[in-house]
Amino acid sequence: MATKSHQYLEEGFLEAYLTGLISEQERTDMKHYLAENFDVQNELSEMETDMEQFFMRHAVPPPPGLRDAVLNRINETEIQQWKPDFEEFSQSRKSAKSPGRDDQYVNVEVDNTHIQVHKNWRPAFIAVFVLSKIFLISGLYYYFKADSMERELIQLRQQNSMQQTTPVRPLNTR
Amino acid sequence: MPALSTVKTWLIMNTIARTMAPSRPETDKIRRVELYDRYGSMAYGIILNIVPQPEVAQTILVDLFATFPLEEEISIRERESTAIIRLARTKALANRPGSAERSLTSFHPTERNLPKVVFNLSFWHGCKSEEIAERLHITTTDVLRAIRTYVKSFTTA
Repeated sequence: MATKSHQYLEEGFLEAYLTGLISEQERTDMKHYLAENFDVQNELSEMETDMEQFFMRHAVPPPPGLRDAVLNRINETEIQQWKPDFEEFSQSRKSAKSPGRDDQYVNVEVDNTHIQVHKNWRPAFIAVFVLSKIFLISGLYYYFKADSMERELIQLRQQNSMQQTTPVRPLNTR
Repeated sequence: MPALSTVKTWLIMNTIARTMAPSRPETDKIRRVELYDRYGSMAYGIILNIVPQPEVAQTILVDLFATFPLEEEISIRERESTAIIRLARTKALANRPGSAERSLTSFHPTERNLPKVVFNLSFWHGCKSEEIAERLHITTTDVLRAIRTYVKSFTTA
C-alpha cells in the first residue's frame, strides 16, 4: 500500500488522473484507491482547486448566443430521450396483448367505462344504500301523513264554518 | 385507433408520473445551465486551445453541456470543474478536424521547459505517455513526473 501511495503521490499519477491523462484501467484503480485513502483525497482536492484556477485564468468567454444554443440542445436531447421510452412502452403493450401474456397485461384503457375501487369501499356503499332507502321510506311516510292531516284539517274547517253560518232560530215566546 | 389509444395512454401515464414525482429533466436542465454559466468560459478556453476553429469549438461546447453526464461524472467525489475540464479536453480531441493535429516534430524540449512540453503534448495534443516518452527519448516515469511538475506550477503560476 505504501509503495502504491508513493507511486500515486510522487510519480505524477494523481496529476495525470486529474487531467484525464491516464488509461481507463488506471483510472478505475485510482478511484478504488481514492475511496480508501482520505489523505490522498485531500491532496487531490487541493490540486483540483489549483487546476480550476489555472484553467479559469485561460478562460475565453463564448459568444452570448451560445447559451440559448445550449438550452435548445438540452430540450432536443430531452425529446430524444422520450422517444425510446415511448417505443419501449408501445412494444410492451403489443407484447402484452399477445396470447399467453394476458397475466402480465395491466388494463389501463382510456376509453374504458368501468372503474375499479378497493373492496374496503363495499361497507360504505352498502351503508349509503341502506340509509338512502330509510330516508326514502320515511320521506314517503311523512309526506302521506302530512297530506292526510291537511285533508282532515280542511274537513274540520269546513265543518266549523258550516256551524257558524247556520242561523240560530229565535226561541218561540208565545 | 389502437395506436391513438396507445399514445393517449402513454401521455396520461407520463403526465401522472411527472405530476407525482419531482421533474428530474427540469432539475437537470437548470443544473446544466448553471454549469454552463459557471464553467462555460473555462471549457471554451480549453476547447479553443485544442480546436482553433471557433465554429467547431462552439459546437463541441454546446454538445459538452447538453450531454454532460451529471450523475456519473460528479458522484465520484470529484469537482464539477474537474469533470468539465477532462470532458472538454476529451471531446475536443475526439472532434478536432485533421488540420488541427499539429506536427509534433516542432517540439524541442530543453531541461527547463520539459514539463511544459510534456504537458502540452499530453493535454493539448492527446499524446499517450508511451508516445511522448518515445518521441522525447525519456521514460514513461519521467513523463508522469514532468506532468506532476507542471501541474504543481499551477499553484505558483
